[in-house]
Amino acid sequence: MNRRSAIRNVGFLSGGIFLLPYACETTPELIYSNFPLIKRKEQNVIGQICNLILAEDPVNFPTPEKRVDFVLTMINDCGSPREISFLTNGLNSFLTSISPQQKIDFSDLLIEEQNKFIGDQLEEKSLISDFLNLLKRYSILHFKTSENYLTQYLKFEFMPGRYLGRVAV
Amino acid sequence: MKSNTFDTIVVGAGMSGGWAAKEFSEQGFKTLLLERGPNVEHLKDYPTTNMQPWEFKHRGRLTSQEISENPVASSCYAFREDAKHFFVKDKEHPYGQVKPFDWIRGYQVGGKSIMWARQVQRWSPFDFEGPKRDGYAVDWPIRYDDLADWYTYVERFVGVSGNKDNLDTLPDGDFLKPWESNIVEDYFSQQVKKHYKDRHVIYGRCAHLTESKPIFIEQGRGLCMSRRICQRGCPLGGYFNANSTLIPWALKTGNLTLKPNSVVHSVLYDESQQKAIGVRVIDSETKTSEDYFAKVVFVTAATLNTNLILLNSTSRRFPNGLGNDNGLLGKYIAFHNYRATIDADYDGFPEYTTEGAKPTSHYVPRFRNVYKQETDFLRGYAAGFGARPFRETNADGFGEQLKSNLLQTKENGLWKVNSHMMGETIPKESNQVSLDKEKKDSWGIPLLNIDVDYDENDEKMIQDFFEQFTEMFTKAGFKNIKTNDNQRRPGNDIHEMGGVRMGKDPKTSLLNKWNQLHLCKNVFVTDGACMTSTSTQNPSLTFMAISARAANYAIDQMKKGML
Repeated sequence: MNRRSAIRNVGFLSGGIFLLPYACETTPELIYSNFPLIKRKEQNVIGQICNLILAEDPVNFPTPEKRVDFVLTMINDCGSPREISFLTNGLNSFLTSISPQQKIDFSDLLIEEQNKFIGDQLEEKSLISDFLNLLKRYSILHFKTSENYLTQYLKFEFMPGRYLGRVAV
Repeated sequence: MKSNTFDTIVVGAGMSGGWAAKEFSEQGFKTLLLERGPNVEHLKDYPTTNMQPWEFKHRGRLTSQEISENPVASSCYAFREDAKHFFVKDKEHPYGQVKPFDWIRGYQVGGKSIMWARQVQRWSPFDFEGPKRDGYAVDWPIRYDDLADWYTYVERFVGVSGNKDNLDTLPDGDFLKPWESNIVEDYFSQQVKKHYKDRHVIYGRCAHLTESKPIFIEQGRGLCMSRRICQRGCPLGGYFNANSTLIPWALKTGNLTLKPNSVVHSVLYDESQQKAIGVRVIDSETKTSEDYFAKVVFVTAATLNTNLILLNSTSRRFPNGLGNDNGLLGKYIAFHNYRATIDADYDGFPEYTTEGAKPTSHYVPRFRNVYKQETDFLRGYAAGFGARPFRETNADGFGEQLKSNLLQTKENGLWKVNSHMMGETIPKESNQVSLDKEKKDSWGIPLLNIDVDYDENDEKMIQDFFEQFTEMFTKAGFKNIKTNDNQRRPGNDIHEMGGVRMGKDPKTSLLNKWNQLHLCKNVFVTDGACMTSTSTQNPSLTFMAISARAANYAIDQMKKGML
C-alpha cells in the first residue's frame, strides 16, 4: 500500500473525521478563468507539487490562504500569457510523463519517488521544468510574504517609527 | 442664483487649490472649492491604509488585466494593488497622445497630494534667473526673494524634515529634524565633498512630521511612523496631504463649501464687465450643468487640466481660450527628465546595517551650469541617492533544502547604491496641448491632445549624468556600476508644468507676477500650469508657495475693492 492509499484508509476508518488536504472534496470547486480546464483533480496535483517544492507550514508560517489557491490565483490574475502557457502545457506534460505505460498518477508514487521526479525535472530544460519553476516562484512568493517570514526574517515592521543608520551587524 | 454665489471659486482640490481655499476661508471669504472627483475624507476614505502586506490578494501586484487596461496609469510606480483606487483609469478619462505621454492623474479631493513623493526642495535664485541668463522661455516675473517668505509660510504649516545645508543652489527652509543618514550615505557625501568642491550629497527634504508642534496638533496630525506606504493615505497625518491638513482646516472656518464630483467645463467671462464672473460645472454623476459665480476664480486643476479648462473657456472676446490673445495658451509645456538611473555595489562597512525605515533618501542638488554655462547642453539635473544593505536570499533547491536556504537571510556585507536623474527640460513652443476638435469626454468636454517630447538637450543631459555619476561612484569605490536609460515617456515624472506661463509681457506670457491672467485680472492660475521654467527640484513646494502668495495678493486686492 502506498502512502496516499494508506492515508485515505485512515480517513475512511476514522469515520471521515479528518479533513484531508487535497483529498477531501467538500469545498466548492474553484474555476480559474484563464485555465478553466484545470479542475479540482489537477489543482490537487498542483497543490501537492507546490508542497513538495516548499511545504506549507501553517504553524510557523501561517498565511491567509492555502498555497495552491495563492499560486493559482497569482498565475490566473497576474501571470503573463507565457506563464499561463507554462502552467497548462507544463501540467499536461507533467501528468503524462510519470509513467504513461503503467498509467500511474503522480499521487500514486512513493514520496521519495515524487521528490526524485521533481528534483530531476527542475534541473532539466523542458516544459515540465518551466512548469515546476513557475510553481516554485509563486510558492516562494507565498512563503516570503507570510507574516512570520516578513517580520522575523526580513525584519519588516509596519510602523517602525525610527531609522538607525549605523547598526552593528 | 444666490446660493450659487461666493466670494471666490477655487477649481481643483489638490495641494495648490487646497492652499488657495485655506487662505480665502481663513480670512473670511466665502469660498467654493470644486473637485471633479469624489470626496476623500481623511481617515475615513483610506481603505487600505492599515492592511498588512500579506493581506493583499496579489501581495501588492497588479493583475494582467489592470496592466493591459491601464498602460498609462500602470506605468506609475505607485499604481499598485494598495493605491490603485486613487489613480485615474485610462479608459475612464481618455486623452490624445500626439506623441507618447503618460498623463498620471488623481481625480479626487486631495488630488495627487495623497500619492505624491513628498520631496520638497526649495528653488534657488539660479532657477528663477535661468531663462533670462540662458535665453530660453521668457524671464520669470518673480525672483527667489519674492517667494522666500512664502516658502517659509508653507513649510511651517506643512511640516518639512530637513537639514540646514547652507547651499546657494538649494536654500534652507524652516525645517523639522531629519531622520538619520546611514553610514554609506554619509560616506558618499564625504567622498563627493573630498573630490568636488561644487557638488553635495544631502538629506532629501521631505514633507513628514518628525517633531510635534502646536500647529500640527491643532491640525490633528501625529508624527510620521515611517511606514513608507504613504500612497495609501496616512491615518496619522504623518505626511502632508491636502486631505489631512488644508481642507479640514478650511472647512473648520465655516467659510468653505467643498463640492466634489464637479467637473468644471469653463470659466465664464462677461464682456460688459470685462472679467470672469464664475464657472460652469457639470455634475460628474448626473451630467447636469450649473453655473457658479464669484468675484475671483482660482484655476488650480493640475497643470494640464488647467490648460484644458482655459482653452475651453471661449467667448466672443476670447475665441481661442481665456486670456489667449497671444496664442500661447497651452504652449511651452515642460517636465522633468527621469530617464537616467545608475546602480552599483559597495563592499565597504560590511560590519554595519540599518534598522527601521525612513521615508526619504539623499539628494544631489544641481551642479551643472550653475554659475556659468560649462557644457554643450543647457541647464542641469539634480539626483536622488540611496544606499541600503543588501539582504540576499538563496532560492536554490526544493523541499527542506529550499526552506532552509530561504531562512538564511542575513546581510552579506554588501550595500546597494543607486541614483536617479531629475533633469530640467527646456520649455518649447512645440511642446504643447490643444483641444481635440471632434472627440469629447463623457461630460461633453473636448479631449486634450498632448504633443510633448524630449529633445537633443535632454539626450545630452542623460549622457552627462551617466558620465558624471559613473565618475563619482568610481571615486567613491563603488563596484559593478550600471547605467540605465529606462526610456520613460514624458509625463511619467508627474511634474508636467507650463502652458499658462508667468511673464512680464502680455505678448509672450499669460500670467503676471501675481499669477493673474494679464487679460482677465480676476482669474488666477497657481498650479504647475503657471510655471515659466521647471528647474530640477520637485515642484510641489513651489506650487504651494506661489498659491499662498497669489491668494493673499487676491485677498488684499479684494479688501481694497480692486477685484
